[in-house]
Amino acid sequence: MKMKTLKSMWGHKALYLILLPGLAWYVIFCYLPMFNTSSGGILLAFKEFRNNMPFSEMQWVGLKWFERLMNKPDFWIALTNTFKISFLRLIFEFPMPVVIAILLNEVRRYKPKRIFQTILTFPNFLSWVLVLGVLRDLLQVSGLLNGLRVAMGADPVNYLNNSDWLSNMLMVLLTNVWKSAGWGSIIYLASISGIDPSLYEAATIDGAGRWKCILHVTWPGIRSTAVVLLVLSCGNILNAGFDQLFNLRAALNIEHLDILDTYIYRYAFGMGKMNFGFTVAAGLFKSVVNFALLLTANKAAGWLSGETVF
Amino acid sequence: MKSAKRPIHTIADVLIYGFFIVLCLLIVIPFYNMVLYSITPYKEAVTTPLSLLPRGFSTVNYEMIFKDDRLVSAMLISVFNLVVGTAMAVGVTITMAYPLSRAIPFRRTLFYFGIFTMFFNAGIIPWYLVMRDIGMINSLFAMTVPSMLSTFNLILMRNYFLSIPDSLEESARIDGAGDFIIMVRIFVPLSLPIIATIGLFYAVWFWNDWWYPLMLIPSQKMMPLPLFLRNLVIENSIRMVDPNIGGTTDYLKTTSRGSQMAAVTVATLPILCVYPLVQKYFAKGIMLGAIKA
Repeated sequence: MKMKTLKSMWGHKALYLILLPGLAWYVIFCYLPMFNTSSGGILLAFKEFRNNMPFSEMQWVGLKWFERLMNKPDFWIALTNTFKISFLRLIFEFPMPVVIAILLNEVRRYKPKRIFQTILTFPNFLSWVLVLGVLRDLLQVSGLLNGLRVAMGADPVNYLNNSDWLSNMLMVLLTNVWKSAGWGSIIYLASISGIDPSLYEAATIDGAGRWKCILHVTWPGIRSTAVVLLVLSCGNILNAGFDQLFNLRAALNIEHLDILDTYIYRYAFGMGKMNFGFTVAAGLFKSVVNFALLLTANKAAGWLSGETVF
Repeated sequence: MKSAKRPIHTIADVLIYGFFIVLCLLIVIPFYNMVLYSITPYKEAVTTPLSLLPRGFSTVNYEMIFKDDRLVSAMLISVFNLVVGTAMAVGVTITMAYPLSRAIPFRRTLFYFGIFTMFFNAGIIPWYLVMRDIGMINSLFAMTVPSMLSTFNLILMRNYFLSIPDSLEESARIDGAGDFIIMVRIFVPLSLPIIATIGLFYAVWFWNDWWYPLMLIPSQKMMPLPLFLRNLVIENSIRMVDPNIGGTTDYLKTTSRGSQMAAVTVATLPILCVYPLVQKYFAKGIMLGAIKA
């Protein structure tokens, strides 16, 4: 290390000192679980877990748990569900905040704009427990939605415990749009507010109507934000929304809504605690694939549009 | 407003307003329905069909849930988490974000040290074992400390600090102020919009979180409000039934739904009250913080 660097560090010793609590937090709560010698961290994926036995004495089992994972049909079901749900989210949920932001920007009056924005962003601040608590009364058999169905002569449907794939997907997508689409639009509105108003004036003088202004001024102004967010969502494909799906699962929909995270939880805490090696392997598989997807998406975004996140 | 100069097409405006009014109704109606159900007297709830019109008024559901010690203690624990957690989280986020926004050696490396954890984590079992080993199970601080820092908020905070002109720091330095004084006296007061924003994010997080308590707090006595609600509404493993009121099982069943709605209303209310007050800071806070992220 160069003398100059050391000198500069000494000169800023107060800054390093106040950095310490945060740094210590990351070490203890994020990095120790990955690597440590007492409980083993992610290396548990390659060991035979025994309760009350120190990590160093547990037997190495190589790739046993990964092989078992690959041979389990329910793992493949959870993995395909994860991909299906994530892709549906990318196709149907991802554009919603963009649409809301563009249209909200077209609301010219300040007051209604504020009111719309306040109402639309609010549900994001409730947990999934509360959101489902609120929506449950609409979705259940004796709920409002079924009241409408019955009034129109159809049979009531229990949306919350249902074996139909399409109905489950609709419920997952719509409840998430209900909760998060408005909030997601905030970041696009931020980008829109950064667009130079003279661009709109110039476009108008050139004869562009409202639609043309959206297409040639607003959209180019938020495209880079959209790319960044798309990259981040691609890096999150294997996540698929644990909070939501964990609280939505019921006896009949589990085959459609079981994703990797709920699968790992089920094996880790739902069926006795002897599955530790197996679930650590599943978690490690997920983290590694997720990370690889993120890097790939980042590269792909670089090729396609010249914008990258990292 | 400059945008007012753009052309106005009446039909388009009507469509856009209509679109947003429908969306807003879709959000407001479920809340309205929830509150309505929680104040509907038992008799009307059972005998009259569902409707969006008020069917009488009764506070029996609220009286019942506040008689339940478990709910009251869950609320107290949640208030503790909210206050202590938010204070710690905002403090640590500021003290970590500030050095990362200054020109110090290794700041990039240190920043990526945090960012990496957004995309790669150990998984629940290795994490759980470490939490167990450092004594977090059934600890009062298990609901705040392990979930204290959000890397996303750290990025917002750091980017906001970066947007403050360096000249302010330089002039303070000429006056003889050290790094710490500059942060506390100059940067923090200038960053109140983003501090309010991330403060709200953290407060809402601690008020809402059920996952960390589910993992780390097996004790029923220390259950915070969100976990209590989860057991009440989602898992149906808690029933709020006062044997002193009512007789038939039918009655018990109905009021349990009414009391669920009352409990959810009570948990939603604080967020509903604080949110519009803080919302005005979002504009400034997020916009500067997020664009560079």
